[in-house]
Amino acid sequence: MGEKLVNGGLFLLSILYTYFARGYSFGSPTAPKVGFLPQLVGYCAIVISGYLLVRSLMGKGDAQNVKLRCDYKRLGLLVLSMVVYILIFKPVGYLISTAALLYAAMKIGRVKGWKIPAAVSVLASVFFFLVFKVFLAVPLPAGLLF
Amino acid sequence: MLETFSALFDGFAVCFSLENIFACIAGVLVGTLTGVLPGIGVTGAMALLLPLTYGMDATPATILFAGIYYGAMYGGSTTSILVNLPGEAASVITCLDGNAMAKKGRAGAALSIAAIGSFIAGTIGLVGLTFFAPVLADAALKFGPPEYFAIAMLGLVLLTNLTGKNALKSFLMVLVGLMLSTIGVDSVSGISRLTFGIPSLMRGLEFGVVAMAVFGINDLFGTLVEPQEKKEIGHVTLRELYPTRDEMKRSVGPILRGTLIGFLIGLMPGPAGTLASFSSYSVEKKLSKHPEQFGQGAIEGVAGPESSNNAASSAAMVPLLSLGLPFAPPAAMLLTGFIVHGITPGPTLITQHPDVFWGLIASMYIGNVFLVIINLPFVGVWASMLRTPANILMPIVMVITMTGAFATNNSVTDMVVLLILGVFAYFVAKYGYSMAPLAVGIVLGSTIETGLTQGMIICEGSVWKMMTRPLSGTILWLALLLVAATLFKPVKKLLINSKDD
Repeated sequence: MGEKLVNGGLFLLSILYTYFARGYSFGSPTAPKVGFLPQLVGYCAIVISGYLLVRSLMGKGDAQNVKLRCDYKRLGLLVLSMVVYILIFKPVGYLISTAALLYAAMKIGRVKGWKIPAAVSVLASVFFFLVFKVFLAVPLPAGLLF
Repeated sequence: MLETFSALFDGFAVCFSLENIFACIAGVLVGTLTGVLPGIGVTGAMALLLPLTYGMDATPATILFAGIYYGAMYGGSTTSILVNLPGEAASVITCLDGNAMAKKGRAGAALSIAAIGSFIAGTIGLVGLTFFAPVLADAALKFGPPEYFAIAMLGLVLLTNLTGKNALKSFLMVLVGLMLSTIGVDSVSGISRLTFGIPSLMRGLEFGVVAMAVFGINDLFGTLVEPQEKKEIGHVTLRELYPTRDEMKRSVGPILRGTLIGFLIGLMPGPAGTLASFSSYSVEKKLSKHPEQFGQGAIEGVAGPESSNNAASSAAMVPLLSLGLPFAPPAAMLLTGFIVHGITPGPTLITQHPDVFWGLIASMYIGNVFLVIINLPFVGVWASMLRTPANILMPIVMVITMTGAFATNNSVTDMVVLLILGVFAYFVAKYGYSMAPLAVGIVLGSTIETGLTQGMIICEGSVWKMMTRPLSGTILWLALLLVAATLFKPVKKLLINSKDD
């Protein structure tokens, strides 16, 4: 099932890409324009992803027996924590949002207790803040703290 | 010949500055750490460290990057031998005999031979790079857009044939890479493509961010959300590091053969290190008087593959430095490192930036010496790194990745791109799609587009004309033959199946 979904997704991606690429002028072989390569790539991708999708639907895919050993709940929580991090990154600031992400990721990764995750979160956030903001002059958002 | 030696000595002079020596040591240290720790790939580590080089000059930055690359090849053997856990794909085959030797109490000897073999192969590979790259670069000065297009196409075709189990899936990933490379403002017409009104997408997707996503975030998810096996980590003392005279004698041939195989395979596109180590293992098994010992702790099974993957990493620099065309993800990451610092690798690199070119090559000689120094006596320290709990280490890596993505352009959009591509890569890679063709597709996208469009104009819109130009024609026909051979396989299989029915 997983392979069919992945192949289907790639087929859909190819169609969508080609649809948008067709919005740019193809030109001609003597004078190729901005849509020349994107359209060629899109058509090729539709053919190949379509072929792979059909094969997997016919039960002839080479990864049909692959079973993911992934813990979907933890994966979902991890992705969610990263989404929240991106959303609060600027308004809340680097230090607080990074410490929160680290703590959340460690708890999702089943680190026991709260002292070690809390200490690592705070120390690592401060360390990276110093490295990026002070040494590399990256304009990290200050947010609520400063 | 004398000119090359003179230039190389100038390179050593450049390399012996405090900043460059520090960059070299830092590079090989981080590279070894990358190789030792499973879950952080070499390309991901290079992508993570890219923002840290922004404040550096071009020479130390590229020296640091190259150090990570060949350092990782060294480090991968430590975990393969001690824990039966390859830190790098190129070290997978070393697990077979290396770990078997460790179980027999010969871990120290296996580690020593791996380090000695890697040093010899890395150094011989560098001699090849020193003399081969300038010759190729000189020839490449005569290349036009059709030739560059042809070389890039041949590289991608070879890559799809050598990567993963299914060439069509690899080719689809190349196409996805090319799709991603078309996002942003077209450099020729100035028209913005596929940006959907998002201003920060106008500059296109940063390769560093894409590499962090498909090699960093992808691996990170795998480590954090999949069950991990607990491994026993062996102890090695300094006294145990000496190989016996017989082990040394049996290793000489495999090291030299591995070097040759590795260098030749390293020149080809694809996962050169992995292919080289597997090829070397198979050659040694065939040539051995005791093939039955392979898998049970044969020293040849460690010496050959470990030498081979190090020679391959030197050879992979040849197309990058002389043509500016990277055919493997770490080389593509090196290219990004060059470009970030305002340097375009290619035929003119040697003449325009001799300090960078020869400084980099000289640093690799020095780096190889450092690798032996930091790998052998401190093998116990490297092994103890494996005791760091992954569920604490990986969230820290995740934060560096997210911060690195933001630091690339000081933009949150890059963090969004990182997350989307990371999730995409995690699922797609599980079903047999390799990420290396995608990464190389993105990097070669602009070369292919420029080469194709300008080539078509030069050849007056005639594909036949492009196919009949002496050099581009020969290369394109070769690529076409390879495609035909790949497509012929499923057709042949279909015909055989229908006959059986």
